[in-house]
Amino acid sequence: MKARTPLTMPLVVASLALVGVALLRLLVGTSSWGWPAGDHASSIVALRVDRLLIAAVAGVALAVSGVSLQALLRNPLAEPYLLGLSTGAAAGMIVFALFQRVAGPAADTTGASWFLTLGDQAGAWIGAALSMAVVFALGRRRGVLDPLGVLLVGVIVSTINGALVLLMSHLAGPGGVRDDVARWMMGSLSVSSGRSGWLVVASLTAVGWAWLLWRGRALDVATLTDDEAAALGVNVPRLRTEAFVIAAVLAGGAVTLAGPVAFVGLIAPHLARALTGAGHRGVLLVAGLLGAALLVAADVAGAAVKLGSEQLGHPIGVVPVGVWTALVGGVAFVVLLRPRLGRDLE
Amino acid sequence: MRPDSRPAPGCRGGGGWSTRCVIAFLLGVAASLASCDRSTGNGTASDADSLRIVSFVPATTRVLIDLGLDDALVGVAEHDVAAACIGSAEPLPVVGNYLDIDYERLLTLSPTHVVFPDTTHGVPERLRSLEAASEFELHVEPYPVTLSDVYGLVASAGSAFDRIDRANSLNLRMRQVLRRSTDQPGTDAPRSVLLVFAVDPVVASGPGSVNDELIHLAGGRNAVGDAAVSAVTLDREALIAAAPDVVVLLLPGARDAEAEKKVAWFDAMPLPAVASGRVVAITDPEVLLPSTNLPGVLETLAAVVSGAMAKDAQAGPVIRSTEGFAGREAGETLP
Repeated sequence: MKARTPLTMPLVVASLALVGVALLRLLVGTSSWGWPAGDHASSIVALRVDRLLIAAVAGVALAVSGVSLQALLRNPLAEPYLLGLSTGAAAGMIVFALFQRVAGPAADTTGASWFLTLGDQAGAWIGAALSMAVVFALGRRRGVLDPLGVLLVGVIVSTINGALVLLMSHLAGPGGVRDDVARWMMGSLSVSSGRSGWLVVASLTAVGWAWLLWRGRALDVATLTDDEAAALGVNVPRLRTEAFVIAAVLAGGAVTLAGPVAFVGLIAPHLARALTGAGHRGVLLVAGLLGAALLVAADVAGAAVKLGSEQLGHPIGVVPVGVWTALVGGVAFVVLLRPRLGRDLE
Repeated sequence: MRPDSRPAPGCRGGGGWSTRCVIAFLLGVAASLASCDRSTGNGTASDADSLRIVSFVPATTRVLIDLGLDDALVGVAEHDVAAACIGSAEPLPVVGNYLDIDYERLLTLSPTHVVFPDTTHGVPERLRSLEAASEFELHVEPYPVTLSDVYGLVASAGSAFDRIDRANSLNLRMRQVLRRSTDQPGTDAPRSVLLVFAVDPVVASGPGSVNDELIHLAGGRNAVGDAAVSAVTLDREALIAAAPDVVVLLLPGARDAEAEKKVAWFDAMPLPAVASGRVVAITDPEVLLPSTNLPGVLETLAAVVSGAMAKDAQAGPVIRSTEGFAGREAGETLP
């Protein structure tokens, strides 16, 4: 890893990237290029700002979650998707949707119909939380969170969640819930649970981000062995618990806003490290900004392609952000990882 | 209002692919542009001058076209097979789908009416608030599941858009065609029919679906019997046990080669349908649309079930169009 470098330039670069794509998002819509004009201009500006804010918050949450997971597991491949949090949210959503369908009539007669007013996002939150709890519980050895154990349990939980999604999709049959899940799994900024949902996630993200920044020095020390870290006065098991809970909450929040978007939690931390070096405070700050910029950029791409397709006479819908992040993020990750793999092999 | 009412150049008239359809296919939207033989409702611009309708429900889009309101349609959902080939020089703008609404595009179309499906998700709060702010009327329509629902959809659209007489006439014609199909002389015992959506494993239409109704109206009985779900998955053993006399694959928008490959999958199966050459595929893009196209689908199905239309060396196993509903023949206007 790079030695620690001054933060000013990386912060300026990341901020400029975010401001740049944010401006682009305001100027590139799904109905026109440029600043909206006409009867509905103010409504359209509000719509674009809403999507911009949703994408930015989800991007920050995913990126900060990724930094946190990579630090606590000492594994550069760790991210919310890999640890089963995103697939847990998907499984929770489909189980909740099917349960609502089955329990609907009974709930009406027993006065429990309030339960049915909860959105599918409630299922996603519950699923992510349950997955986190399972990974957290099974990934401990003698009461201490084991990095390798957490990673392995995360992969297993992710696989089981995936199987659960497949089973529920199979039982649901074609159309309906199955289609909802298929679309939701692509990652979409339209799955947002509204402004109140955004506000909750934004608040949690701000608190989690600030907490991790405050613990940044401890995260640096935690990259040493547990004994070395303890010798330097850092309680690593406690730090891991804090970081893991924050990562899970942020990842769950991002999933409720944008669906299970892959790679942002992986790419943003790596880009940040390339700019700042290994210090976690710098990485956290820059990765958050870059995560936001990445997801906003993906939304710009979706809007631009939609608009372009219309102008070419072959209109299509907005390509979900998750598709862009997976496509671009996957390639970028290979480019980032390739030199490191070469070094490891030597 | 769209200026041109010519049939879309991307639609083929019973023959090969146009360049536009090929390009559209490469872009991943071929399913909605691939094979459109249908005529439009021949609505006049003056009828629909004051209406600007955005439809999120393909089944309703089909009804609106048949009610002569194709000129009033200004936006549709993604993958709206009915809208793909209506009489317009340009494809209609896409406003997303009921799960992922492109609100910005919707607003800029300045609709007077928005047709939205009644799903378990309900109507999004934002759409409701835009309804109030933008002064469009929101029509929430239940997605049709039975033939009765389709009649209801036609009547509802006729009432909402002041086309009551046309709607009644359309419903009457549909009933006539349905009756004509059921009045055809049948075989001694109803043939067992399997309507298939996918192969390997086979996913077939079960009870409680509009397709199940069509099987009975076509003079057959559903080969999956009284399965508990409306889409039944059959492994090879279950398929052989079902022993269908007729297998009809419903593959909307599929290319001939793809459809033929799926038909050929059944050749290795010891089924009565294979022995009698009654395994066919229908690739009409609207074959799974529960709307006013159903009489055409039923007529085709009845012909297959009765043996009037079967796999043979000349015709092949692929039926590309279910056009046959008198009310929608080219150039004919509804009374």
